[in-house]
Amino acid sequence: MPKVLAPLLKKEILDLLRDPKILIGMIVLPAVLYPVMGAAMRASMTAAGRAALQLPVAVLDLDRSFESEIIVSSLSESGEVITLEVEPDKALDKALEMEAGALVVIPEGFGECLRAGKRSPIEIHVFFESGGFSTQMFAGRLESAIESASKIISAYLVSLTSNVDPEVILNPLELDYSSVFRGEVLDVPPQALAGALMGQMTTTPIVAMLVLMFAMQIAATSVAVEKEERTLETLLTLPASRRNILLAKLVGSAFVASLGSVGVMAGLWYYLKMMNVAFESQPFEGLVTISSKDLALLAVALMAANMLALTLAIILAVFAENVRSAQALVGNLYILIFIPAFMLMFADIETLPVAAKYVLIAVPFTHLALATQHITWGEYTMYAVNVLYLFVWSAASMLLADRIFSSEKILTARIRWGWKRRTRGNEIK
Amino acid sequence: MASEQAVFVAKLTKSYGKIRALRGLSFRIEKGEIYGLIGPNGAGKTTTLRILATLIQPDSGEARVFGYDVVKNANRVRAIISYLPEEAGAYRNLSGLEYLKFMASFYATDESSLQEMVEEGISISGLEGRIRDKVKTYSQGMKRRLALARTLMVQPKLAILDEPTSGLDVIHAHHVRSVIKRYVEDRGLTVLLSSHNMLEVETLCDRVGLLHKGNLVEEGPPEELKRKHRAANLEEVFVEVTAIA
Repeated sequence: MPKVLAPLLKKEILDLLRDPKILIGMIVLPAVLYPVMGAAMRASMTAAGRAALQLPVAVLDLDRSFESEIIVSSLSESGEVITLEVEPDKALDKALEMEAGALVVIPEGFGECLRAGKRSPIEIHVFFESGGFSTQMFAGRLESAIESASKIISAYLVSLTSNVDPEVILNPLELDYSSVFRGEVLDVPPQALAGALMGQMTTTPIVAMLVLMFAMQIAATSVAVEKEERTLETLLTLPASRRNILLAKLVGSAFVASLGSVGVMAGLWYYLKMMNVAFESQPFEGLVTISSKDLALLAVALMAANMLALTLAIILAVFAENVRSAQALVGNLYILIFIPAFMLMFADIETLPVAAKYVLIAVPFTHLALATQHITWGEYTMYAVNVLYLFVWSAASMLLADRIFSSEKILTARIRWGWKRRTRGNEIK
Repeated sequence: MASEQAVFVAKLTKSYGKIRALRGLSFRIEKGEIYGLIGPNGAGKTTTLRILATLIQPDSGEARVFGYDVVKNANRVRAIISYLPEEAGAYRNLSGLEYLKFMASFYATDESSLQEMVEEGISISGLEGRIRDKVKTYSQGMKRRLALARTLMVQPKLAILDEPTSGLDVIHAHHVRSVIKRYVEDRGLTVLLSSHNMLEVETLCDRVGLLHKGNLVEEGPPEELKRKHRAANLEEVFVEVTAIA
């Protein structure tokens, strides 16, 4: 490492990390935001779940048969039940008065009708006193209890007319699913594997987008702040090559951005964990089961895209007058990252219209999204092509950045909003 | 190739679009001299200093610092000069001490020479009591003193100072002028400076060059110029020469 690179790098990192806008705005806040959101969502959903369980169901059983008892008992198992002893026309008012969440009316002759081989209606009135999760969860609890009672009654009715095991008649097929993935037979239901893969294919691009956005903002700031604080002229006359100055900015920004990205990813991981606990599901299982080899390949692809993003941000920041305009200029590049990532998150590139496909393929950041897909499917040759394309773009943009840093453009070039261009050189002193 | 002539500028031109900032500027500075460039706004003073500091390149002509061409040997030139821009900032999130250490690290050959430079910088800046504070807490004057200290502490062969006392009060401006004078006398430093302050130029410079519309219209020691133009001070010389030009 050249002697001058160490102090340049140290200065970049110290100056960026001590900038409250970067430390608080780009590292601490995003890292804290997701866990706070996750904890808040979890707390509200736990409260909603508790409220849904505590909300009673009012039952008016006008039949009092064995079959109606099955329904009452199933409802009791799911939560509190209030048995009403009123005339049918007063039942609704009574249930509302007792602050029940729903009223279930089992008509007279319910059991007899079933035993005669006919379908029998029951009335279910759900009271919407408030919106939100608790009503949704209460409705779910009610539906599940009724469905469970319906199955028990079905089995009972089958047992009355046949010697065959009711389970055989109700569920005659014994399904034995397995999934073939990357040539391997996995003892996993396809729905579960599809869910895990979908989780991986949506989460990875989101994380990649976050990483690239951080890196670009920080790299742009590192150049623009030199202009804003009038330190650039001094820096450029130091006995350090312009290439080393550029390199220090790239490496310093990448380091600080990676700190921010780690914070955000940790926060996002915690948020998803909170949400998974709240929803009792594991939609992102695929991420944790990714092999270390694939993870390393993902890191290489991300590094190639990051190099390109950093260099493009630095080039754009050269044309900005201050930090704010640099960040606004860099914001225009997000479209090149967002559109491919979102399009490929839900669609196969081969299924897109031809023109859209070739436009997307030309955009370098598409190849990050494609690389992650090719890793998932084990198509390593295609992955190598994607990463190579990214590296070629990175090398070309680094050459351009090097030329700009070596010329007086770094001092004189300006783009103002409205794309009206002028040179600082006009302000001759 | 190294030379004992500190600065050699010949037929230098530089344009920004349609505006011609320098129109064949030529002058020389001998080693150990303090040379002042004076001229009205837009005369090309800062452009000249920036070319010599390797920040921008001339369209034509030649500029050498101790024999090294500022375009072809820019890295060698940077190793022997130290440039103080008119609006020099410092990294606001570093302390004054960290800033001086950062700057010294490019010139020092070992840890002890780095320490020496930093001690010298602290002494020049006069910021002993505040040197560990963040630069963002400094006043404009304190930042200017820090920037000047950074420029001189590395003991360059040529110090290029654009309005060195800009933003300083009378006392600190006097302190800065005496530091520059002392550095030249004690350490054989060569100084090229630009200034609007005629008194400063008169008392500090061995020779001055009057720039007007990108050309040198007059040059010589302040006393000689005053005699030649029968003027009481450099201001009168300046007004007379630029009016004629």
